[in-house]
Amino acid sequence: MGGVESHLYQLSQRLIQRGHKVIIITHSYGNRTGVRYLTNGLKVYYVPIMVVYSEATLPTIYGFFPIFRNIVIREEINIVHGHQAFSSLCHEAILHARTMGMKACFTDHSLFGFADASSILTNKLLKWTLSDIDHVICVSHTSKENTVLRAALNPQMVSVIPNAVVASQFKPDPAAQDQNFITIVVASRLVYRKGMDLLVAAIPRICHENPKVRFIIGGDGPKRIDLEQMREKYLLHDRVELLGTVMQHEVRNVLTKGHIFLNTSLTEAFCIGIVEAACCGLLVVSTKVGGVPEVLPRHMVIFAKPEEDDLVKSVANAISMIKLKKVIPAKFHDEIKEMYSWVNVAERTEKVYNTIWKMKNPPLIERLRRYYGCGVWAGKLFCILIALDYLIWKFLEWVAPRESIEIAPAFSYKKYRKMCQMADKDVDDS
Amino acid sequence: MSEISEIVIIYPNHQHKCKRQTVMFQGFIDSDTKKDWDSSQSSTEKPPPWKKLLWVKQDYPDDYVDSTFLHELRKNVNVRAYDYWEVVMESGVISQHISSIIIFVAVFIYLYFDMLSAEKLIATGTILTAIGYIIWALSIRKTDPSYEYKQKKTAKGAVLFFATLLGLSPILKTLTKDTSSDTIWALTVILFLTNMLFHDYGSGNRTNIRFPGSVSVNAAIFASVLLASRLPSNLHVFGLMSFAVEWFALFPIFRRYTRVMSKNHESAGSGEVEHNTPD
Repeated sequence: MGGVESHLYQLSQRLIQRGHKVIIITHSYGNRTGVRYLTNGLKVYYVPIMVVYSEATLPTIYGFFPIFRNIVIREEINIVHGHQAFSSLCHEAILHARTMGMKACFTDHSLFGFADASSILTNKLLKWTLSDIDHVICVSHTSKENTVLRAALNPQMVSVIPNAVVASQFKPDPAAQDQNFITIVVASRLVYRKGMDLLVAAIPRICHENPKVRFIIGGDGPKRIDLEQMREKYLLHDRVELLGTVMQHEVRNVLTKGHIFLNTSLTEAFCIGIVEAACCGLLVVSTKVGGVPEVLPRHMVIFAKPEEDDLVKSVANAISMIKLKKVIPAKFHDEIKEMYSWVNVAERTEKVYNTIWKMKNPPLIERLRRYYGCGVWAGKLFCILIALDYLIWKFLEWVAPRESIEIAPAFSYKKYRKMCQMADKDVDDS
Repeated sequence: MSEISEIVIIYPNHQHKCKRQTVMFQGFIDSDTKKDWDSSQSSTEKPPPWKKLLWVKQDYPDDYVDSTFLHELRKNVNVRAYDYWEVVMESGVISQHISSIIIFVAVFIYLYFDMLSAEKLIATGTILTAIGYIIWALSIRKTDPSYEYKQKKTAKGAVLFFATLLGLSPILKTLTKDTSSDTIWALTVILFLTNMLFHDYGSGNRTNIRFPGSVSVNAAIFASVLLASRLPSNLHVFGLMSFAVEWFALFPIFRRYTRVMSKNHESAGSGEVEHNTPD
């Protein structure tokens, strides 16, 4: 479970607790299909859509519309909230929601470049979807600047609401640390974007300079082979431990083993990993990229430029700080607890929902005008696509009228809590 | 999309290094929001300035746009402005190659209509190749002294090659004789286009031909074999084939060499590094 998934789960839980009804629509994962209930009646629809490559769905634009319409009518949805710019499902859902006259907002979780072909394409798509949207949420100020530029948005309709951590799940545990060594923990997907090449170059140098240092690397990905080759080449089997995929509930146990957390990301909008690490009482060394400088106060983190030499220097600096006990990272936990909480995130998101709820829906002609502004050629193409979307909607309304769709009974959270309490009481009594 | 070619946001450690840009979007700051914010604060104390941090709780709304918004934006950091004549010079390689293809076709037409005798072509080709070889050998000796020993081998190879070509001329002549002329012309056009597409324009390689440059040379030689079948005598065939080899295999090497030389002459030590990979 990555940052986005846990964001969705935690945010939904807090919104349910605040009396909202939340459903999640996603594509099916292997044999995980159909409709499922998670904690506290959070309903998840796993829509059967073809997955093309690494959990990304094939963009069909209209293929998803009938089932989407059915779900939102069944569940009596008012606001559609899309996450992640890479997701075609999210783009499609926002378009259809706007066609159906619902409110829509969007959360961007990552930073994106401007210069290469794939980012130009994705940015165009983003511009298209965000041409007609009520509000956008970004996870950091840097991310906001990036999104505003990419989608040519008015910065006034972009809010910054950071991610959060469940502090109680990331309690420090000094007993788990091995005091004979300084342990450096790395926990991320082992991919290029997370700076694994940098890590592969830096580990042998750090190990060479500091004989008392060992590494624990959690996560899996295509760069794992590079790390293993590095370990083989420099004979570091006893000092570099590769754990492979770490389950969400085990992350804390891995983190608490370390003294220092190392993040080598090349691009990062927020980086929840360093917050979790600091919450577990680790001193953080991180590359200074994207939104990372905004996330933690200066005494918890040592920044490095995203290059080998500076990274090695910063790690050496952190090691000496730990050795001389200049910082007491165990105290970080209480500070982080005050800084980031999901309750706060949910409150702020709710505020966004309230604002967009009050906004008026633009007529179709105004929507077309907005899409037309996307570009000389793209604008016309987008208008055609939207017009077709509108016609398909009208067709669906005729084929399967609103009234014919059965409304799903709502899951009452209050009733559920009451029942839970009663059950607890029964257990206590007996 | 096209008006913004490249935008990079960089977060430098030192604020002062970053060039300050005029603030975009400042006009968007909603007057209502500002008013709300002003009235909510007591007028006695100035509100603390907004900070671009997430971990401090600030008394600003989430959609607040500060005047420092996009301050650290840097535009077009990697864009190179091109000088018109520089581009003309650089693209000269391509026009040169197109011209050389046209010249080759012209030579063929002259041979075909008997306006040029085969002997003349062979004689000129041989003399020019010899001159070119001497210049090349002198230059390559400067960069790679081991070539001095290979010289004999190269000369022997060349003699052997042309002798074989002479022997093979009758075969080459009749190889595609049965194919109709229309097919030959069409195929030749396609092959010369292939030659043009795959030609090694970029590298300064002057010792050998590598993929995909080899595809280009092969296409050209194949085209000349096709054309040769339309010629009247064996001597004509030998003349055209030897000219093709000189023109499409050896002459580009010489052209690359002159280009490198003129560049070095123009910008001595300006940092242009040529990668020569002697075989």
